[in-house]
Amino acid sequence: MAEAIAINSQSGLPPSIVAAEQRTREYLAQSKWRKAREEIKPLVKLDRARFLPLLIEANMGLAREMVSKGHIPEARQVLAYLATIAPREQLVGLEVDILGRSEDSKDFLGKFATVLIAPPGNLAEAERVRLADQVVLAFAPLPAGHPAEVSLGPQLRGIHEALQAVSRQEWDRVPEWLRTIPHRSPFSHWAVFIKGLVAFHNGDAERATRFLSSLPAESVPAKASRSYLLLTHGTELPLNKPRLAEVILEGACRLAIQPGVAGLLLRAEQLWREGCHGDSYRVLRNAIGQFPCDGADWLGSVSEFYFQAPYGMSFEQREDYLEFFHDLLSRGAAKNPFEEMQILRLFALTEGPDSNTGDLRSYWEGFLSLHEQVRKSSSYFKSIAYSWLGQQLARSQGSASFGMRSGTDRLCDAEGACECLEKAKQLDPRNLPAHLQLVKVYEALNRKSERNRLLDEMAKQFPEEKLVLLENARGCIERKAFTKALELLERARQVDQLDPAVLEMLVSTRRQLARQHFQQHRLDKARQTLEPLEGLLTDQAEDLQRSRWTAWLRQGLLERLHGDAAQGQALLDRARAASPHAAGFLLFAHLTHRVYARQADSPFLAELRAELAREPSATRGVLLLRIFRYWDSTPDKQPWGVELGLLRKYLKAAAKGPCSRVEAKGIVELCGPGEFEEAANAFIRARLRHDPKDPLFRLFKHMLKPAWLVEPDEGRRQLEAILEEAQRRGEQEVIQKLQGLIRSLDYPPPLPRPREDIDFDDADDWEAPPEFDDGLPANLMGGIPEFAEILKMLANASESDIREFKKTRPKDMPEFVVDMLIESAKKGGPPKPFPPPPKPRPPAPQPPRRPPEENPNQGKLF
Amino acid sequence: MSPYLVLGVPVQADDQIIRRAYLDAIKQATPEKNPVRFQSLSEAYERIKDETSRCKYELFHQESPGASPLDTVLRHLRLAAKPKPMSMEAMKEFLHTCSKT
Repeated sequence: MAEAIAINSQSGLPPSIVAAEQRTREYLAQSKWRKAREEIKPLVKLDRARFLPLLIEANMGLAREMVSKGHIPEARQVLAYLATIAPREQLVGLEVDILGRSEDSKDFLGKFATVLIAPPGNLAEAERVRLADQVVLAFAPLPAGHPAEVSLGPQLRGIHEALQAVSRQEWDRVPEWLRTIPHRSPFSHWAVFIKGLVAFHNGDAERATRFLSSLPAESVPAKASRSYLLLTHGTELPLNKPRLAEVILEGACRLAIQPGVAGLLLRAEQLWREGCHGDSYRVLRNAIGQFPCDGADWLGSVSEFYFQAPYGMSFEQREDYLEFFHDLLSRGAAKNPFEEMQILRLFALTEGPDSNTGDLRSYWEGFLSLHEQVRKSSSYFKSIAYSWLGQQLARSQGSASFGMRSGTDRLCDAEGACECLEKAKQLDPRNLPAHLQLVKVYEALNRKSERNRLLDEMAKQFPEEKLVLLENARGCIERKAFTKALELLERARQVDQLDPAVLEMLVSTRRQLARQHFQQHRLDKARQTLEPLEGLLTDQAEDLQRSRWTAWLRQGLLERLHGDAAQGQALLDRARAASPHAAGFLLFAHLTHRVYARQADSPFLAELRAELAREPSATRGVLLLRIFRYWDSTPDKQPWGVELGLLRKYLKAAAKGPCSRVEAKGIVELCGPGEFEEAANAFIRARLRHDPKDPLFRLFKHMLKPAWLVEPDEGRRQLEAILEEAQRRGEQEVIQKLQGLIRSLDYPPPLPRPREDIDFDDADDWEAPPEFDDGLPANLMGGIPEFAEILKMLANASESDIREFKKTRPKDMPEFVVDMLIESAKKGGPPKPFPPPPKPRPPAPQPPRRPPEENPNQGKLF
Repeated sequence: MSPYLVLGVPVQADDQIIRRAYLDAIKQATPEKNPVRFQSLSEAYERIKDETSRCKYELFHQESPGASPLDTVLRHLRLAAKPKPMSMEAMKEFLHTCSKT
């Protein structure tokens, strides 16, 4: 309205005329040419200068519309009318359009040539380019005797011949023809285009991009160049303009693949982007006979894409996509062996760790059988494949108890693993990883004779292989054949002199042999055995296996226990002087003494208590924890009740003092969940008081929270908030850990699976646990050594011991179990039974992929 | 992208052919001249340089050759040997199509 009033006030015309003019402009904007023409025609008589341009515009639009619809005679009529009202130069563009559609090329060629040789000012540059393009695209010579023939004829021929030379790959002839095109020629952009083509086909992408990008925007060569530039990476497809994208892509496909696939590819692309992955695959599968296929061509690449993409998808997307392939396979509708092979590979490699081992095996073996058919796989290839399958079947299922030490973990499919690894060995006797994995499986199954036989076989097969020598040495150490173990380790050392694992094993084995000699009172032999250790020791005091002070300390204790007490004391004094601090020395000495003497006490305990009571510090705490963890991880470890209490108290006090971020990190990592969880939490609290947003300690805090306290969505939100802070601070280690944890929420860790040796179909095989009115009978408790041990301990424990036990309960043991045990111990009997568990359901043939059910972060630290 | 395609060797190529192709390619794309291409060539070579690597690649590799079907095709075409020029007739048809857009 404001605009209308403005026009009115400026023009001084009656409002009805102003309104008509406005309507005309609206029709023009909406390409309603006829309506615009009818509206404006009467007004031209009133004010020709003002309204004639609008009438011309309406007629021009109408004529162009007619041309685009192929109504050429009608367009000519409008053009004839326009010639009576519009200036000549304004009509040239329209004439180009009309004549371009005319069958009489000579007619328009002559006319255009006339315009082209006219002085440049008569024609807009864009029209001149359009005109030149139409002349070139006629692919015909100029009419004989035409005034332009002399100047433009050779140039036009030069362009045509140069294009011909390009198509024939006669690269040397192209410059000759282009030499006829002067710089100011109306065809000069065609010359640039042709130079771009030559560079493109000769592999000079940079030069091609330079030429092809410099053409006039609306010219035909510029439009054609977009397809070439797409292949040189000089442009991207305008996917928001589907028609244009298709034309460009079709050009590229015509050039590099085959005509007619652009539409298909764009449809597949659109569906893929919309998340309809299966439908996207189906578009190509239904339309292209050979798809999917194996090969190095574009179809091979795009086939590979569809089978590789799922590995990068989110859990839900992948499940949906795999469902599509699952449906294909279950209907037996695989298009060709390649498709079936790839689907089976995909299924096998995306099987979660909680998958059914039978399925995994059938997928992988199916894949191998088809691979043989499609790609003629070698026995070496199959051996590697079976080796992997054996490794997967030998995965640990995890312990079913709540973190208590309950012996070795059960393997997913031990027998299957043995079969596969044996097969891998047969297929390629040089397959060392298969041999090594089989040794581990035999160990896990406690099939020692088979393991030893295999180790002997490996020693012959791979006499100089370090890993084999180490495995054999381990076997010897287990049988207490230390001399033989030392011989094997020395050979391993010759193979790799710098491997610290070999050096550590050498030190440890020599020490065990010496201890055996000491215990058998062969003192000289014991000392001789320890002598060569000198060359293997290090000055790094923190190396608890190879440092000098720990070596002297151990030897000193052995001397004191079994040999020369004075010599032993001298060695201990030397060790104390070389140790990092007195507390470290005393704790190491105390724990070593307890292990060597197999006693509950040691002469160092009183001094250790006194030392730990003085000035607790985080710096010392790190080494003390490391010493404790070292002895706690050895097979000779003892029950550490007193030591645990002392260390907890020490760390609690140390958390109150000053402590750097690095020290606190070290302590929290060494504490972890379990016995020292409270100490870890004390250090975390201390650091968060100092810096409440510290992402590292917030992460630790999150990880130490019991899983049942963290609701999954809330847990994810917390992790994402910590990640944001870590990214802000650029803490790469924390960022990586958090990203892994957030990813793992999509792919949760396995839950323990029911035992496979129970026949769930047979109701007789399942027996509900008996219900006892007075708790579980004592003989039943014998099957759970920890319970029996705990009950015995609690029966004679004081109130303070019970409080201590509550604090130090085994990792992951729920509090209510502890209460039941204490109650039972007080009553002098075993605890009341747990409610009977529900009868396990038989495993489904296709186990569903579960969403996260528990916090996977629990119990995992850096 | 497939290491075979990056190095321009057939899937059946043996150690020698692959090594030769790698050495020829890095002569053209030295770390100074074209560090990105050099890195992709080196990575591709590492993946298929011997029989063990090739078997492991074929059995276990999980990288997608592109971000989408079209991206894969374009990456393939950009890496593949340069196409031959269109015939004169095909070029005429192509140019006429372009003139109408």
